[in-house]
Amino acid sequence: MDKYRKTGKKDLRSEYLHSLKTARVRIHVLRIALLILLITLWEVLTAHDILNPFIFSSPSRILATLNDLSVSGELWRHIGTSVLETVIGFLSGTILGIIIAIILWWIPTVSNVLDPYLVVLNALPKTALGPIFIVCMGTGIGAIIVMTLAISLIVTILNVLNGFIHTDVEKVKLMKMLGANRLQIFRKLIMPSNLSTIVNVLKINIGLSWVGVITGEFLVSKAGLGYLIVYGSQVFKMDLVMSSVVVLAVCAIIMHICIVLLEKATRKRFGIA
Amino acid sequence: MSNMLLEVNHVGHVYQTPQCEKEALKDVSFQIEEGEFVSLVGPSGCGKSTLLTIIAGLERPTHGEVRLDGKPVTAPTAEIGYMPQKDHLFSWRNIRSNITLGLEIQKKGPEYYRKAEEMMEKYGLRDVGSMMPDQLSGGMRQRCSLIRTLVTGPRFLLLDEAFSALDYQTRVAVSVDIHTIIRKENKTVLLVTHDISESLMLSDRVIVLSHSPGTVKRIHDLSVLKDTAPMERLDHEAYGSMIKDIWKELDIHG
Ligand SMILES: Nc1ncnc2c1ncn2[C@@H]1O[C@H](COP(=O)(O)OP(=O)(O)OP(=O)(O)O)[C@@H](O)[C@H]1O
Ligand SMILES: [Mg+2]
Repeated sequence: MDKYRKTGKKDLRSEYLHSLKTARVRIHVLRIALLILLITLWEVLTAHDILNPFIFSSPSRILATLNDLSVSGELWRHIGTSVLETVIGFLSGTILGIIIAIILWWIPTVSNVLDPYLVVLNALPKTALGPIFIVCMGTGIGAIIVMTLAISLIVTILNVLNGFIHTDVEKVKLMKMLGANRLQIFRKLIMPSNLSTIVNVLKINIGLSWVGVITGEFLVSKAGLGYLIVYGSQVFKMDLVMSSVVVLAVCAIIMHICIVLLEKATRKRFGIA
Repeated sequence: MSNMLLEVNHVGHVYQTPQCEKEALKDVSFQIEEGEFVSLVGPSGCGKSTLLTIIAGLERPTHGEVRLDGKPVTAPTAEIGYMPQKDHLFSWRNIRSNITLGLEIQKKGPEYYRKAEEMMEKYGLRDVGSMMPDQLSGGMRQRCSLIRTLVTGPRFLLLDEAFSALDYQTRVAVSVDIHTIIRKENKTVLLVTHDISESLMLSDRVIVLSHSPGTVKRIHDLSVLKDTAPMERLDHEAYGSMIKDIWKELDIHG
């Protein structure tokens, strides 16, 4: 009887785990099947001229275009340019934003004075400033990076500062009673308790940086994926446009995965839930 | 000169806000001797936390003064330890480094870290030193919180409803546990509580504050219970009438 119960219980558990696993596998299979279905559909519809291949391109045309571009080395130059701009914009926006948030937290008078300015800047569509940046910075990579910075900086400042300010006041009180000065409160309490806020900001910023870079390239550049898209549409090479969009998607996904991995590492290292 | 460790002299406090003025405390005076365990009870909003914040040196009173060992208290000092309502252990630090947080901040030498190890050993936390706070029970966490406060060597402890976040059974057990540790370490304590029976179980004296603005309504001397252990006090003949007295004094109508 006892033995029966024991194995019965174990079976239940392993059955459950097994069902979890099969459910996961099934979802994955369905996802991939959906992707294959969509690509096939795209190919078939354009091959039979139900969708116009000159407007919608097609998977085989995209592959051919990408092949040509990569053989000539063009592809890598454009990817390199866009990725570099994104990484620089992302890092400078994030780091500068966090530093400014620290300063504003440190000196409340400054943050009180600047508060309405931040609100207005946050509400303003930053792309509207694009022409100003071009006039100031010229039509090179500088204007694009400033564009990216403008898009991610204010959001970073607001989010991080908000996290800093809303750190549990009782914990701050505790730190003070243990004799902590402001620097110690910052390093031992404010920073670690806001790590998850900062990780979230990183996630938001990587997306925003791509927005900034592509918008910037639309406006000025002579290289990059945004440039390829604009150029392709102007000369009506939709294969080129679609290929660039696909490459862009892949690049963005890879960066997103990097951030997720970083997030996992910090969570493990600092034990944040 | 007196041999009082803590003197609260005519302390009054008025909170100023743009909307109004709020008198939280008025002419509060009492003394606490070295080694005493004193409870502070009073209706919600009567200014208990305000008083504790003032004694801690986190806020300056608008009237009167607080003296520790004869010296005015104007800023947080290492002589005064503070244990908050919740344990507030930092989730990103393990138990050991939570306990030594104050030592890090005050840049204490290795003898203090040895003392921390000793206290963890003595109070049953040795095996959990490398665990994270969320792996511990509420009672254990509260003990960590106390040791974190004790290990920097304060002479005087302020506990603001230190047990009220726990369920009833745990609260009784933990408060007795904490009481034992504090007695062993020979500390002077001011405990804020809502719980009359908790104050009667643990203290030498109970200060009753009245409502709005907070003033000292009465100070109960519990010397009849002096030689009775916390849990046994519940069965003491004087216990029932004392509960009733304090209950009446806290009455919202009175
Ligand atoms: N920062 C503040 N600004 C203005 N008024 C305050 C402030 N802090 C507390 N008060 C007011 O002072 C009074 C006393 O508050 P306090 O927190 O000291 O009461 P308490 O006895 O600790 O209450 P509880 O038992 O609910 O914890 C309350 O009426 C409260 O509204
Ligand atoms: Mg309170």
